Order: sequence, then C-alpha cells, then structure tokens
Amino acid sequence: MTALSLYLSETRIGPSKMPTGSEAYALHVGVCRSMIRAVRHPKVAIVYSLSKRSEIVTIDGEPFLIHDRYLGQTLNTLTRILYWAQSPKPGEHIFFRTLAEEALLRGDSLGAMLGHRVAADLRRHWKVRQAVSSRDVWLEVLFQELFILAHEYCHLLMATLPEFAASRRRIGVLLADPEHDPPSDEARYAAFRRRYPSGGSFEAFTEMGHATQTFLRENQALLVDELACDDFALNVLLHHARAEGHPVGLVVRASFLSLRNIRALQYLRDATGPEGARRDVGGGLEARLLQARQHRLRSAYHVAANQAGYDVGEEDAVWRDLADLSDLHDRRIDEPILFKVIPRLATARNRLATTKPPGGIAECFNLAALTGWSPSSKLDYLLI
Amino acid sequence: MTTVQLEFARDDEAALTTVKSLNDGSLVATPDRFDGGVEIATAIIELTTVSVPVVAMLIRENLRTKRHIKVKMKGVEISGADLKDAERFLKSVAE
Repeated sequence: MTALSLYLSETRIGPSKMPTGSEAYALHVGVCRSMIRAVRHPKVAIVYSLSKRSEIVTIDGEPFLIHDRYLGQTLNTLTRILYWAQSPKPGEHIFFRTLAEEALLRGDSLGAMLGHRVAADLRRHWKVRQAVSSRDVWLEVLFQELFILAHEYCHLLMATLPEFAASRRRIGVLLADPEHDPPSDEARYAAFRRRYPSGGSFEAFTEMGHATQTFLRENQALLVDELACDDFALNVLLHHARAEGHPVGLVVRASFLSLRNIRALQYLRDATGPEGARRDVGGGLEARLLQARQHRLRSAYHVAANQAGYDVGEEDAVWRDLADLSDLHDRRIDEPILFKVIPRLATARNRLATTKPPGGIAECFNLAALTGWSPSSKLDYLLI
Repeated sequence: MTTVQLEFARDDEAALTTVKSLNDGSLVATPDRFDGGVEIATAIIELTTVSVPVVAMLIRENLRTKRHIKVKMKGVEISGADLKDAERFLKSVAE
C-alpha cells in the first residue's frame, strides 16, 4: 500500500458503491491546471468520501491535492436548494441528512441517528431540478469547485515558492486589515439601513463592527494566508472566465457561494459532537473565519475584475446582484440551518439524552454501513 | 492491522517527536483544508504492543496540558469519554 493509499484509507470513509462519473472530475482538474502556470503540479487524487473535504496534503515530503467529489456534490445540492427549492422542506431533508453525516464523523451516534430519522421523514419532499438543467447554475457549481481547487493550489505554491508566498502574503495582509471597515462609519450604516429598513440601531451596528475588528485582529495569522489564497483563486478564475467568454458575475457569485456554502457546512459540523451542544450557534472558529473571508474578499472583487479585462464600475449591477444573492442564501440556507435544524437537534437530544448512553466508534461504523458507506473497505481513488 | 489517526497542532514538537519515534508503520501528513482553522499534522499509527502505551501517553499529556489533540479512526472522532482511559480504549480497538 502506498503512503497516499494508507493516508486516504485511514482518514476517510468511502461509499459502499462508488458513484460513476469520475472522468468529469479529471476534466475539472485539467481545467485548473491549465489556468495555473505553476512550477510544481502535485499529483491529484479524486475521492468520494463521507468527510466532504478537499485538501492539499504533504506526505513524506510529497504534496497531493485531494479533491472530494462528495464535497462537489454537496455544493451542487446546496446551490440547487438556493435557487430552486419551492418550499423549505427539500432543504430541510438535505440539512438533516448532512447534519447526521457530520454527527457521525464527530463520533456523535445519537446526533447521527436523530438527523437520519428526521431526514427520512422529509425524503419525499426532495424534488428539486438538477443543476445541469440550467447552464448558468451548472457553471456556478463548477466554478465553486474550481475556486476551492485553485485556493488549495495556492497553499501549495506558497509552501514551495518563498517569493510567491511573500507577495501573496502582502495581499493577504491588506485584505485582512481590520481598519478597512471602521465600526462607526455612518455612511456604511446608512447604506445598511437602506437595504434593511428594519435593521438594528447605529449603536448595535457599531458594536457588531467592533466585534468583527477584534476577531480580525485576534486571528490575523490564520486569515492572512487564507485570504491570500482566496484572492489568488479569484484572480485565476476571473482570467479563465474572461478567456472563455463568461460574464464577470459568474466568478463573483461562485467565489462568494463557495465560501458561504462551506460556512453552512461548518455550521452543521459545529453543532455536533460533545462540544456542539455547548457552542453558540454559528460561533465556531472555522465558521467565523469563513465569514470574515467572504466579507473581506468583497474588497478584492472590483480591482480583480478590471485587472482580468472586465470593464466593471463600482456601481455595476453585479454588486447589487451579489447583495441579493447574500440575502437569498440567508433565507434559503443559513437561517433554516441556524434557527430550525440545529435547535431541533438540540431539543430532540435533550429529550433522549437521559435514556441513551453515548455510543462508541463501533456504533458509528455500524450507522455508516447502514446509510450507504463502507468503513471496513479500502478507499478507492483516481490518481491523476 | 488496526490503525488510529492522531491530529495535533503542526507546531507541537513534542507530539511530532513522539510520533516519529514509532518507526513501525506510522505516517505523518500535513493537510491544508479550504475551511482553514488551526494548522494541524495528522499521524496514522498502527496499534501494536509497543505503540499503544506511547500513543496513550501522548493523548494523556496533550489533554492534561490542553494542547490540540484529536483521535480518530477512518475520520470518525473518538469521544472524550473513551479517551479518559486512552490505553484501555486503544487496547480494545487493537484486538
């Protein structure tokens, strides 16, 4: 067994039956490679795993890009819910199922059983158009995955090219600067109230701004590299999209959605396991970092778009569309997860906790096997 | 062969030294994930009569000093309750 094979098999659970279509993902990676004229291309392993995580991993000094197709499928599903769910129920089926999967990965067998039980009740509501039924939506899903791939490539390049890393970090420092959005800016508050007439007072807005600044200051080290790589991915995709004749809005929306959708997944992750019950809803470190990244990256959109050859003014409709997209994501994805799904799990758990002792790893593996996954098998992957 | 996955902070030199001292079948990887967060190292360790007490000691020490440590099998986290007696737990899954 190779080191990569051992790493993948021992850190992920694959499906009982591998879905077809890995060739399409080889195309994804080919597209990414053609966009990035890098000194060093890592080998790419395409997997399908319960973890729903793509990563760059260095094993014995050799880098590998692990692209998880189940993450891509999840982004696809969330995007379909975002645009096409006719009622809240289809989304709730998916959110509870995803919550169950994340609970299982946290060793939280009770959370997993509860999540699957509710998801099963809602299964009949899952009738939402496929992403490929609309070319625009299909492209938005593709570009979300490409954004993630390009972001990961950037981490690899930074780890191997010191001058590249230094130049990227200068961008990351600028984007992560807490002074960009002064908390007591009356013009920003006025714009906020025009869009959200029932929004809070200036004092509450200022307090939120101070909290954001404090978070940015305390987590600068983590944010600088992540924003550096987000900016890199944004620029790479903009140049690629321009060369292919796609509108600027595609990349703006896709980069925004990739961060928002991953944050939604993180909300569900954070709500499970032993710490989940004690954590403030939406308050986990990774979720807050993703929020900060999504917010700070907006500063880069306008300059990056024009550098890629798009002629986009500061008042262009693409920015208003982005604000509308953010509100839609709040309504269709974030709010149902934060205010319905997670509280419902907590309530059900509280009712049952005194009668059910905590399950162990064996119970989690049994649950995984019951729901279409195979903990006992070696993980299949495609190496490019 | 039963293995366990140990996740610790990338700058945790003590953990890294301990893991690397286990020459039999252990592997150390450093992943970077899109969702960010604390930079980690992941060690895949085969559970043997030699490695079990060493791994148990590392887990106890990191829990005691509140340094980042997660123990997983196939990506599934082992609960804190099981880690209270880490050596007993590791022996039970190694059988």
